[in-house]
Order: sequence, then structure tokens, then C-alpha cells
Amino acid sequence: MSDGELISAILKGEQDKYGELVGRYQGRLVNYLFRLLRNSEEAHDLAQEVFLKVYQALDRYNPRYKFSTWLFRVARNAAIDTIRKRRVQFVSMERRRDDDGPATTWEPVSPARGPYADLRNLERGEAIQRSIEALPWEYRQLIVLRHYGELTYDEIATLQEMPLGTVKNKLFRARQMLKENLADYLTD
Amino acid sequence: MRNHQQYAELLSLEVDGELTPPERRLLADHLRSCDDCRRERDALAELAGLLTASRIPVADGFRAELMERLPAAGWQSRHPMSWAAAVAVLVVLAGGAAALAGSAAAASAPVAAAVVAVLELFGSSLVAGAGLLNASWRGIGLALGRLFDGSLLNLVALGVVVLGLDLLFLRLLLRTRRAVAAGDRRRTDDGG
Repeated sequence: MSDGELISAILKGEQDKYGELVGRYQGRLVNYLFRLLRNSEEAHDLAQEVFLKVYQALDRYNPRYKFSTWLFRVARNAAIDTIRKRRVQFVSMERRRDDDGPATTWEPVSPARGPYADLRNLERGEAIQRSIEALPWEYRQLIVLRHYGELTYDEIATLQEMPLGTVKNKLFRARQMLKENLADYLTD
Repeated sequence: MRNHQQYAELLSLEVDGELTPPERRLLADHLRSCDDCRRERDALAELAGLLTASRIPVADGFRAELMERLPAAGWQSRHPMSWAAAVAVLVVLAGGAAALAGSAAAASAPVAAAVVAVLELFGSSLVAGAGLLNASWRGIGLALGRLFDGSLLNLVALGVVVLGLDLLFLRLLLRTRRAVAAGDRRRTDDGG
């Protein structure tokens, strides 16, 4: 069943079908928000809010566009609002430093276990996050949408209102920068 | 003939599965003879693997919690199915009332008298309400008359207060309109 068919069924009264739609996107949405907000709990909370907001406006969904594009647009706007509010709080708290601290929750990047492996994974997870954050905002958006939101180039182009060629070019450059930043974690 | 940079761009597309068939063939031909590009391809694949492995799992119960929180969306009330229950209840009540009225009429005749009595009660209520309203306005008029007691200064003061309240009301009205317009713009933007 396609996203559009699911939405039609929900609008006809099959509310449970929304769970199926959520199941398709929850992992991608939570990871997308996590990379932008750096906080797992906040990412989960905001993902819930986004799904609720989208549900309430489901009758306004325009089938000419992909559901994923709409969902991620709402999520992007919500994330930007959150970051903006956080900045206001940050300034009002007289520049309390939080940039150097690790993110709240880091999951291991590989299933390897043991103290050394955990430490290495933690270190690698932080290095990945730092490298992503070091990217210019637009490049960062593209990398996160592609690798964590798992959107196609077409979907990214629609969402970011960019020509397809620009998406290709910027993703290429973003990836080159990431590769340089993470050189220590890549084999030669 | 493409330069090295162009092949590097094709490698980036390959990682994302976005190559067209001709581009795929072109790249495959080139990779057979270029060690640098093969190394670049391995590095890009490794980078993609690193990013994929850093994804976090979704918390247990995320979906169940969300489904419990689903509110009654506005569009649900517009759906014909949502009216079905209300209409059914109305039909049952109307049916019950009709049955009761019918059995009462069969038992005794004064149904018409009861209807007239109810109408008379309604008429009396109207007359009483109108009288109360009239008395209230007269009362307010008398109170205002006593308050100003023919003083021009008091009358001017009242005028200033009324004007100030009007301006305040106008300002609030304009602000609300601006907020509604901003909300509409935002909803349009979110609406896909």
C-alpha cells in the first residue's frame, strides 16, 4: 500500500493505518532530528509532535507531492524553531558553554562490545557528530537528509527548493569535507 | 573524455544509487583502469557505512505512545461517518418521543390543551423578559444621570474614557488580524 493509499484510508476513518505510516518514517525522522538537535530525548519528543501535527492536517495533504517531503518539511521547520528557542535560552543564560560536551545519548556505531570497543564507538560517534556540525548549514542539511532521513535526490531537491544539479553538486562537496574530517576513522 | 573530478562526482552519485545506466557503464569502464578512483570509491562506501552505523534506534513504544496521543483531528468531524452515530441517536430519540406522544394521545385527549399551555408559558416569559430589559435600561439611564448631575467636566471625562477604550479595542482587533494572517501564511507553507 502506498503512502497516498494509506492516507486515503485514514481519512475514510481507518485511524489505525496511521500507525503503519508512522512505522515507515519513525526511524528516519528521529535520526534526522537527532542529528540536528544532538539530543535523543528531544529528537523523540519533537518527532512525536511532528507526527501529531501532520495527523491533524492530514486532510490538507496534497497528493501531488510526496508524503515524505511534506513530513520532513514540517520536521525541518520544527527543528529550526527548537534550535532558535534554544539559542535564545543560551544567550539569556550568559553564554553557558555546552559545545564541548558530548551529546546526551550516543548509541554504539558498531555492535562490537567490551570497554575498549565502547570507548572507540563513543569517540567515533562524537567525531561523526562534530564533523557533521562543522559543515556549512546547507551542506549539513543535505547530508542529514540523505544519510539519516534517507530521502532521494528528487525529494531533497523538492524539500530544499533547489535544482537537482545543485543537490548533486553540494552533496558531493559535503561528502568530500566529511571524508577529510573523518580521515582518522577511515582506512587509507 | 571526462576528467578525474567528474568521475569523483559520479562516484558520489553511485554511493547514493543515483546513477543513470549510461553513467554506470561509463564509470565501470573507468574503474577498470583507475586505481585512484577505486580507492575513492572504497573510501566513500566506508564513509557511508560509518554514517549508517551511527543511526540511533527508535525508543521502544514510540509508535504505541503516539497512537494513544492522537487527538480528534478537525477533518474527522467533517467525515460523513462521524455524523452517523449522532444521526442514529437523534432518530432513536425522535422515534421514542413519537411513540410516547402517540400512546399518550391514545390514552387521553388533552394533548392540544397541553400544547396551548406551553405556548402561553412561552408568551409570558417573553413579556416578562422584555419588561426586565426595559427596566434595566431605565435603571442604567437614571444611574448615569445621577453620576454626571449636569456637570460638563464629568461628561468630558466620560467622553475621554470612551474614546480611549475605543482606541484600545481597535488596536487589539488589528493585532489579532495580523496574527491570524501570519498563522494562515505559516499553515500554507506547512501544507506541502
